[in-house]
Amino acid sequence: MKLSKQVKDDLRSYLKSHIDSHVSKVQIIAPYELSMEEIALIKLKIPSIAKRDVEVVTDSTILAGFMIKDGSRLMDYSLKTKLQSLFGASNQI
Amino acid sequence: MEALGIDAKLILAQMINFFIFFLIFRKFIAKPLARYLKKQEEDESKRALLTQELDTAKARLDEERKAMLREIKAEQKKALGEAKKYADGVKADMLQEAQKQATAVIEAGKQAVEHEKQALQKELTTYVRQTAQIAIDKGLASYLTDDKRKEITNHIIQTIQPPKS
Repeated sequence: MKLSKQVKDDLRSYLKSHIDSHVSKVQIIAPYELSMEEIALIKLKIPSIAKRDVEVVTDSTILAGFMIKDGSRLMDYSLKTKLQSLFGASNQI
Repeated sequence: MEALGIDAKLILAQMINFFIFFLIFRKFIAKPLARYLKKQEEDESKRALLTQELDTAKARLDEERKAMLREIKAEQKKALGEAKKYADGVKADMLQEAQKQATAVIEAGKQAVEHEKQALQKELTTYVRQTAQIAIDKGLASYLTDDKRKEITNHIIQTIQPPKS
């Protein structure tokens, strides 16, 4: 199947804009809806996401703290993961 | 002589008769009898000699038989001694080998028990830790109110260390 040049360009630009919109947006997973002050504080502490759009997702299973998902990269500051690390460290004793 | 009642003719005839008898006796009886007796005597001496030789041979054979029996007994005794010695050696080797195998089996059993014990301990420890982790997660999930969650989250934000890129 042959595609015309116009269709190819349109498809390319759509995919580029779609990827850019996903890449530029950072997801913060928290156990409750974070306030604007908390998000600002997080951005202040983590300069790499300072100028990025933020999408907050709530997940009560992480107990407390938060996780930042930036594309394939995950920064985990959740209480659940800290407890798991603690248990993991105690398993090696 | 006739007066004395002696008949010279008769005496002469008797003398001739006696002489003829003597000749016949000597010719046909005395000599064969003497030969026969002599032959008997020779045969007797030969038999005696043979008997003596036979006795000597028998005595020698008896002595040889006794010597052979002594030798056989000595060989038997020696063979039995060697067999006993060999059997004792084999028995000792077998005992040593059996003891070695028994020790190896016991040692392997001990190691297996020890491994099993360690595996069980590890499994139990893992189970206890997992259970404790689940209990803590569930306990915290029910214990943490929104305020507590916010408080902890804010504490984490305050103490955050930016990741090394």
